[in-house]
Amino acid sequence: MAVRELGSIAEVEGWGGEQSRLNRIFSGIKAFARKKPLGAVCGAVVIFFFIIGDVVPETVNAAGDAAGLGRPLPYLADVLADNTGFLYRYYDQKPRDRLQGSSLNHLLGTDNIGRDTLSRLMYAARTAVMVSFGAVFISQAIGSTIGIASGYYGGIFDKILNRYVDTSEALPGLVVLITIFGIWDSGLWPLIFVFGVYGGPINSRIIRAQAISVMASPYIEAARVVGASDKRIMMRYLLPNVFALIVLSASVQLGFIVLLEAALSFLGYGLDPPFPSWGQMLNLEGRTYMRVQPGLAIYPGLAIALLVFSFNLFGDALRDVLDPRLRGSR
Amino acid sequence: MQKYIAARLLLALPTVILITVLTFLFLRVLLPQDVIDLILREYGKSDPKLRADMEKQLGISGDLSTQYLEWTGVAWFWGDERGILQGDLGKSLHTDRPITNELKRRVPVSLELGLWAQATALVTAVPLGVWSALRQDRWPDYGLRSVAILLNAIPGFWLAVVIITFGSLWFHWAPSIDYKDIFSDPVAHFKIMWLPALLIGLTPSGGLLRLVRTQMLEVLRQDYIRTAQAKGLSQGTVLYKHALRNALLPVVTVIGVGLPNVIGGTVLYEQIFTIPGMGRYLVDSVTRLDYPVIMGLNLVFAMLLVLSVILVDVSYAFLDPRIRFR
Repeated sequence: MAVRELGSIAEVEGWGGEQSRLNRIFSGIKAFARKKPLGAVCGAVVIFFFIIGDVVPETVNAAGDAAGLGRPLPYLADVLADNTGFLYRYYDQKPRDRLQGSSLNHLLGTDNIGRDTLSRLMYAARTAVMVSFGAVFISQAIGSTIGIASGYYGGIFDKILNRYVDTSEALPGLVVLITIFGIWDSGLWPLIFVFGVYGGPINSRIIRAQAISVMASPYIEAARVVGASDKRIMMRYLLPNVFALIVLSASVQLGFIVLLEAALSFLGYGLDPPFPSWGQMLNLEGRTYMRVQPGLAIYPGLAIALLVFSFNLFGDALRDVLDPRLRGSR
Repeated sequence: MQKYIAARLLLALPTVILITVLTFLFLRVLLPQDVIDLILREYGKSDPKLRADMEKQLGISGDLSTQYLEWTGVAWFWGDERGILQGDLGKSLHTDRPITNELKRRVPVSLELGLWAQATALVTAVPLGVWSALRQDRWPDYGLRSVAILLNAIPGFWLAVVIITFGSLWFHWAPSIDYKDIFSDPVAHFKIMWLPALLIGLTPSGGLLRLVRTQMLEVLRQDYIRTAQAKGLSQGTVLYKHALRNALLPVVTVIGVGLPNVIGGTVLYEQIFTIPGMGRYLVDSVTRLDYPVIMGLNLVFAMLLVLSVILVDVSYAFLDPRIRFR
């Protein structure tokens, strides 16, 4: 009886805890929106691009492909293209409607072989968002591993890692990327992996500094005394303490990766057509047909600017709220 | 000071060695096994002797460590051919001429472009940042900060395309594509260089402006500024002698961090504005699979970056005596 009562109380409390956690998240978002209205708007834009960019379906499908399970999830972009009157697939050509201006059928006009610009911008959002989020995820994972490990172990291990990080910082980004994708084939996942691996060590510096300062705190010593293993201290004590920093540096990095991907595609080392990316649209259709149909070059640039702008402002707002020490910097 | 510079150079040595190792290994791993076939097909030839020669020239005959020593020129000391240490980067597959000669023409062009870009960034960001700080939370401040944030988000190469197209459509103006040397024809030279330099400089200037502003705000609240004002120094003296010098310290570091962007910028804009610098050479060589050139260029770019970071560090130590004696 007593045990059952205890159980039911725990259940109720657990349920209550869940509820209050949800409430906390909601009120947190509300407070964020009140304090940083512009940051919240930019956050909404980021979420909008995240959904339009089909991040979840693309990731799940790629994983499914790799595991031999096929591609289970439909893409939002495809659904929209099939069910609305003004959006099309990125490869749908209407040779009779070449280089048109804005109209009800083609809200932002068409390109040189009659593909709808708005639809292609929407599909290209997938490239931008996938590459930025994927690369940032990988590079933060690498960066925090290096940073925490070298902050924790110190000594010769730290010195060696430091030299490695120094060297990675000395590699000129675009030059290395052009070399890689000039020799290798490009593609969505190669772009993500190369950007991620390239950015990883550079991220580690700031995390290492934070990890070292956390290492000086008494609770780490206490954990040592209790006999916690290295792995446990790193995962349960250091990681949570540097996590805010990881989120912050990720938010700064996102916009940078979008610009880098656009630049690389603009030079012709990005995704191969027909699948669009903003930089590629600017390079292939925009530059050539801009005199006839300026929108072809204007809109992709605006899309890049909007996404990067939102990433940056959202990151700034996030930093102001998450880390009071950095308030007002930048 | 000399001691600091010596220490800094010594510290860079392992980085430099690691860069050569990385460049070498990285391009070796990158190099698909059939790259020679690809290259030979590119030039429309196929015979075994040429293939063997090519393997020798690419340095992929023999084992890895020998190749590395040959490439870096360490092997020269026991009588091998000259390598990087002796200032020889090998020959281009495409033109069969020494890469070093080609670089002698191209490196100054890119360097100049990068310097102009940095100068543009500083000249716009520092005064405007100070102004923005002095007018904190009034409309010039808001305006400048918004522009700065926008500048961070707008891709410069897009601006370049838009400017070129609308310039030619509306004003019948187009940037010249006929590159002139600075010594033979300075006017024509600057007619080509000003726009790319401005565009490369504008992108980092947004971030710099915001940094100068925050630093300035912080410094202006310090006690020594109040002391200087209380002594009755003129506003200008307080601003430029006491405040700005201290505020600019972190800015110097940020310039160092931003250098890879400038190098990337030169690559992009040399392509758009057809300036014959290193960036164009790289893109051309990658297209032609001109392997020794790609390797050499990666190395030269990295070395330039290391050097400029050292320069930035040294100037930082020069500005801030505390660094030297740490």
